[in-house]
Amino acid sequence: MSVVSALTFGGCKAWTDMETSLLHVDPIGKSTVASFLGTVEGYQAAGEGMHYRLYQLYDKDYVRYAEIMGDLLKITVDANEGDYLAFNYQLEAEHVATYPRNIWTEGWSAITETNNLLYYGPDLKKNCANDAQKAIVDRAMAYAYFGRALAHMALCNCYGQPYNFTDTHDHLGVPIVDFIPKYTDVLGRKSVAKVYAKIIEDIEAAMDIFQKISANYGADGEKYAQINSITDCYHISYIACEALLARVYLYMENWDKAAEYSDKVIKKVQLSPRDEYVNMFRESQDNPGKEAILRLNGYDKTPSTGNLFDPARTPSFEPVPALSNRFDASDIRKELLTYVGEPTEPEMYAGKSFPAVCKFLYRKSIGAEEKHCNDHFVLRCSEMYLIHAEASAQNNDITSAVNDLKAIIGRATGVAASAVTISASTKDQVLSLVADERVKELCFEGHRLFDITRRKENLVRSNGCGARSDALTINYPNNRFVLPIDRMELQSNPNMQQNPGYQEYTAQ
Amino acid sequence: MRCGKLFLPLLLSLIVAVSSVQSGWAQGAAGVPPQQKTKQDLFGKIVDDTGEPLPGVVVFPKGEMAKAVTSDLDGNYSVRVPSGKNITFVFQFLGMETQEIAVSAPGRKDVVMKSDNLLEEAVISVGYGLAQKREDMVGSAFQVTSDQLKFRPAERMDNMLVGMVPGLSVIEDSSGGRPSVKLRVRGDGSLSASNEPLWIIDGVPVYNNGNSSGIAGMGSSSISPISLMNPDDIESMTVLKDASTVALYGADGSNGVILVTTKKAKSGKLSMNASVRYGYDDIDPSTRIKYLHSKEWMALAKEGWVNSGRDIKNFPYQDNEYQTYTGVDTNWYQYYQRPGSSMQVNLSASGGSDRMNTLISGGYYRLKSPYKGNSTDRFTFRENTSVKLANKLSATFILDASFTKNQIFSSYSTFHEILPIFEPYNEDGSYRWYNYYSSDDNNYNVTAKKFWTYLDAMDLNTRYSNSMNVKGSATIKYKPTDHLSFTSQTAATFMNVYEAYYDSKYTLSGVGSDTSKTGSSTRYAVFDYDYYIKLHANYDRTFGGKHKVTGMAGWEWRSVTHPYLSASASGFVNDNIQEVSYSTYSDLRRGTSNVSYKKNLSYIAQASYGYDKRYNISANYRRQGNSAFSEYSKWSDFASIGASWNVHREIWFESRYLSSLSIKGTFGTAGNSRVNTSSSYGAYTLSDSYYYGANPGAVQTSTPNPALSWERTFKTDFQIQLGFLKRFHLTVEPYRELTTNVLYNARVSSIVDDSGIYQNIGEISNNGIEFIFESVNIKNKDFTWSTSINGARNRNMVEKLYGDAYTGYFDHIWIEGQSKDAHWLVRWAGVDPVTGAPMWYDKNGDLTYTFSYEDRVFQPYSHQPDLYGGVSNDFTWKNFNLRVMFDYTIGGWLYESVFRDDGYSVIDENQVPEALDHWTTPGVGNLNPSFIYKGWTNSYYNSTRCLYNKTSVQLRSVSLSYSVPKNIVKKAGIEACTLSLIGNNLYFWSPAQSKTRNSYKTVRFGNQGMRREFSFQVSLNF
Repeated sequence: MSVVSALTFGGCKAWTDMETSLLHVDPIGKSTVASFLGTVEGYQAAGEGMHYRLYQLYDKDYVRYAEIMGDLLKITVDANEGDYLAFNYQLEAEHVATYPRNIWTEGWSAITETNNLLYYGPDLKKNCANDAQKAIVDRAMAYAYFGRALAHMALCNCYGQPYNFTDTHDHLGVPIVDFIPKYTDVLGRKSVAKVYAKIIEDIEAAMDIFQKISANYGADGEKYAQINSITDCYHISYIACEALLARVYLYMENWDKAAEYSDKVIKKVQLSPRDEYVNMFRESQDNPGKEAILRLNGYDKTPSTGNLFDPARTPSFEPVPALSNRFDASDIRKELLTYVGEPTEPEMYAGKSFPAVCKFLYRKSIGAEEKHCNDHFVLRCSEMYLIHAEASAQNNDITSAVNDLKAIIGRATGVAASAVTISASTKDQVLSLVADERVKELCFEGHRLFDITRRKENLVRSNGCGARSDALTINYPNNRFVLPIDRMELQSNPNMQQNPGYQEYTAQ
Repeated sequence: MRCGKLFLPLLLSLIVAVSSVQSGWAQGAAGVPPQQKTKQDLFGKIVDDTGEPLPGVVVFPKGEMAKAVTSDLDGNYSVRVPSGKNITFVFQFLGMETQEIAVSAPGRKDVVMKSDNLLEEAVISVGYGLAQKREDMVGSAFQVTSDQLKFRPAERMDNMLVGMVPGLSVIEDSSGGRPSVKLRVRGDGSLSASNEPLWIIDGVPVYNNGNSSGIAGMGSSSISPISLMNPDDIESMTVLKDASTVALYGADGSNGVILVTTKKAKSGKLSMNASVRYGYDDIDPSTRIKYLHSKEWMALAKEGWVNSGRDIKNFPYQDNEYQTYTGVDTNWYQYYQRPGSSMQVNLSASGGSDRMNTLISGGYYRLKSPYKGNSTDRFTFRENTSVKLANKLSATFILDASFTKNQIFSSYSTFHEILPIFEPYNEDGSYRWYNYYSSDDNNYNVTAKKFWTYLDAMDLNTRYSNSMNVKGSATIKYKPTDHLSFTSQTAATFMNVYEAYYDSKYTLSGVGSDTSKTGSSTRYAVFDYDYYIKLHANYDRTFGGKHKVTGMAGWEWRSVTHPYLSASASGFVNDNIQEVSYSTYSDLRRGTSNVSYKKNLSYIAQASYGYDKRYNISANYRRQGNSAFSEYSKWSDFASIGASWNVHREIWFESRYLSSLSIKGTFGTAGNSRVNTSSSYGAYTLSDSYYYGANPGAVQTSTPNPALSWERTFKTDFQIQLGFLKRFHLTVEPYRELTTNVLYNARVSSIVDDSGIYQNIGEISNNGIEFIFESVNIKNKDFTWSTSINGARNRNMVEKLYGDAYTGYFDHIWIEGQSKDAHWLVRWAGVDPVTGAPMWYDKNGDLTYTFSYEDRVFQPYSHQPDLYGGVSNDFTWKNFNLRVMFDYTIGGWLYESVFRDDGYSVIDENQVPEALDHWTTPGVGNLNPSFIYKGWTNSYYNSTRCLYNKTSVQLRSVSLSYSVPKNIVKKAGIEACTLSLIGNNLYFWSPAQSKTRNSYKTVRFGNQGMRREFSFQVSLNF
């Protein structure tokens, strides 16, 4: 009997084994989320992938949005429909092929990566074989905290009114997503106050990890954390955390902290000298700039911003003529507003110069190919000087503010900072000078719209910029200074609240 | 074509070789020893056309009925031959054609009786050794024979089915310049999974790369394996639609199954067929989208410019020192389309003995496509040999090989919108790369603008693909008794697509700054190794003359390995050297490779019982395991049952007019495994595109949804068949298909995933009715006229949604009780006659000047036609045969929005003539709003303004053929000779068509227009 049952059992076993082997397939290429982030190599690649997502956000939509909605660009007939509508403040929730939806999805895609990293990191670290592996995991977690803060801030800038829009800061911000969301989760918007609190919390968490990395991992520690100097400006660092905090506190009008953090950065990072200034933009991969704190690497990527402004193609925008009038003749920064045609251009262009945004024209020779690289600046030290100047002036520390301005103006015009004369002496005069320098220094780098709105100014464009007559002046406050939540999001997320002034969505 | 010249002699020599082998076999092959009673007897076995023995056949010498004998249970007969020469014997059997056979001497004479009612007696195979007469079938299967297909365009066999099969819609898309075909059996049952039917060729499933009809090339092209076959090799195509037959095909059967049977050899003396067909292909100009000529456009553009408040002094297109616009009127179609041609040469030979027979065939097809830059060369070879190895053991070997070379130019899809005032070439004949015009709204300031026509790319870039498909199949059948058989089929398919792309350094993009200045080359290779093994035992016996029992049990395994690789480089010395190895920059040479696997294991069973040809029931079962499914749902079961009743076989059934009446019903399940399989666990992808700087980068490409499960379709089908006077047949077939757990990549908050998440979102049904009416209107000695009319109506409905699953598309929404493609649009209210502003109706039906998606409502205009189908007529008069086939669509609405932006883009794009019908004068209404450049930003948003009625008739095929009388051709040593004139897609009619405006007729064919063909064919039989 037992023989029979053994045979039967054995036969069944053999049969199921055969079935299993006939159906067995090893997965190749793609991995499941859990298995991919369960290895240090996968985790490290996901950390790079998160940087890539931030690059996409900056290059595709965020930077150009802040500039197109500003007052420094002139539109050409070649602008596409989305840019045309944005320029004329005509965007609606229906425009799902452009800014309202693009910035939204790009921002949240980056945040998805950060939350995956933060969720799978602690378990992975437990299984790490050695310190070298642990350092890699720790560093990627610090990247993730910073990335989450940066992406939330970008989203909050675009979809929420500025922090100082209300005294209580309880106007609509964006959802705070610090977990891996499921489609069944309630994902609604939080107040700007809460979003900023979360941003600061995340940046501080990143700084905390960077400090531990520096303390625990010997020689690799400083290299990974970059606490004292920037050695790799293409990756997130401790100094980048400080610099981002300076900007966050500036937007929050917390002048003390803004001055404190910008000062910390200024002490560790120098300004790029004048003779390297233009190349910092036009030769970025070879000369990322001494003042670079965090740039996003556009190596071998589609240069979306570059294409927008490229005078050799059909540029959608040019600088407004009034902009170049603001510069001194000797100002090095003016060079980035003028393009000289290359010999390969048609005869009416070759060798001739005409206005163009030249901050994103760098082409990298990759072998025989020349490819655009738009290495966007997320943070650079010039901005820190201007933050410090603004915060100091607000705190009535006019001397500090003037010194900061002298450093920036001196570098641009090629004279020693001490030789720069600044006649401004009152707080308002200095603040107005800071605002002017911010335009000249940071134009087209994704600051303009947010500078106007956080200062509660009206947007006033010059005639000839090509805007419709109803978009020449946009008064503050204005619902149209923020983007609508796009229709697809409203349709698929019943908890999503539309911004005032845009049409609500009601389900059928 | 050099290869073509070599290929045909090669084929001829093969045929000669085969025929000599065959004659050797024939000499050596002795028949089975006869059961001769006496030397004066005529004897033999009588079988029907399926090879089944026929008992009870009456055999007698003509005029001597009294000497009649009948065949026994095994079909054997023996009859005494009266003395005298050339006696004619008569073979008679009810329901069969009476045969008269002249006999000169006694001996063996086997007879095959043919049914005199071909429609009902036609034997239809549903695979796995299961073949039934149409009358006895429980399931719904529709067969198309080679005779019906022979005059259709020879490019693709899927496209040949158009209009022939009730409920099968064939959707052609030629917008990219390379036609692709979508087939739908009874509407769409799935949302994200494939909606394509499963193709089985000679018992072997066709690999179709998971979820589309094409095998993905990695580059810009995709090749359907269906297009690699020579349609001339097809004996029949059978479309299986209902659960009873489809359940046998399990996890991939829910969209229907198309069985292709290729031609087989016939025993007897060698016969050869040769045919040559040459055709002229072009685009019917009346079906192209109409655009404005330059004068009309210029006037309109100026009007739009001025209406927008801009100064006419700054109008961009003024004659200037660099460029003249006056007098230029370019018809862009002529630069992207041309008159094409097609040629098809087929050669086949077949013959053999009782022991072995062989068919070999070869074909060459060449198409110079009317879409410029596209051509196809296809060489096919097929061999089919059957061998009787021993008394009870037989084998069939099929070898099938094809080689296809495609030249590809994916047409610049919006070439029609290029302004007619531009020219493609400079005066010196070089490509025009720049146009010179002003792009400043406020100043007239001429600048050079790059001008993309891609005509340089069409000429200078290299784009071709070579496809090779080889399939070998061996079937061995062991039949120990008349009732039992064991069959094994082993098949191996190898397919390779090699694509070579080279982007010239001398095109506008080649010299431009955004890509390489030095040429770039990419090579892709895709391979498929598809192994298939099938074993089945079949039992088939009739007890007591009335109880017919069949059974089948089988096992099937399939393994598909799909490796692919690519190499690319840029930096070439010149355009003559395009291979990756010769790139001058080693760091620009890149390569990738990858592989995917899929395995399937199934158990199949079938049982049926028939009583007295009156009642039939059958049950089918398949259990299938699929490696692509995750652990918890790796195995899936599919089953069906069905019953039929042949009322006319009842003793009490008596009718003068009704010659046949039968009723059938089936119910069962089918599945769909062709979905993306990374859905339940989510996926991270490491790829070049996510690299950050030089560091490997990876991102989440699919968000996990562990609760996912697989779709299941429940099919219910009824059928009534009526025959009148044995000349008219009507089949009516209502059905209902319900797909549950419908998989959809459903839109969720972008916070979770901006591209959606695979979810089981609900249930979708397709309810419909199909009919086919076949009649022989006139049949006499010289003239025959027969007609076939088929039609179908399908209504798709979202039955249930498990949650709030909105799609996020602007013209569709899914809610319970509406079709999944129901139009959900804002209602267009025309133009305000006072101001020329566009108007809509809001949700409540009140007029509004503001467009809002809030005002979308469901439209009574369904996208689904009320009825669609085909009509064919066949006339034979003496040696002439005329066939006319057209298909029709009644009702249904197409949403097509590209045309109407009321001047918004007039400066950049040409306009359709409808733009001329715009408002100009206060108080005078018009069809379209006032015409303003960059004016109305939402007048062209999704509204009912953009609906076209689909009612139309297309003349698909007309063929006239003439068989040269035998007494003439015999002298030339030819058995038969047929000459044919063929026209395909000759005319398209829609009620609203107009010479000056667009209509469904011009928007129906996308951006290219309807392709038509005129050809001439000679076919010879030796």
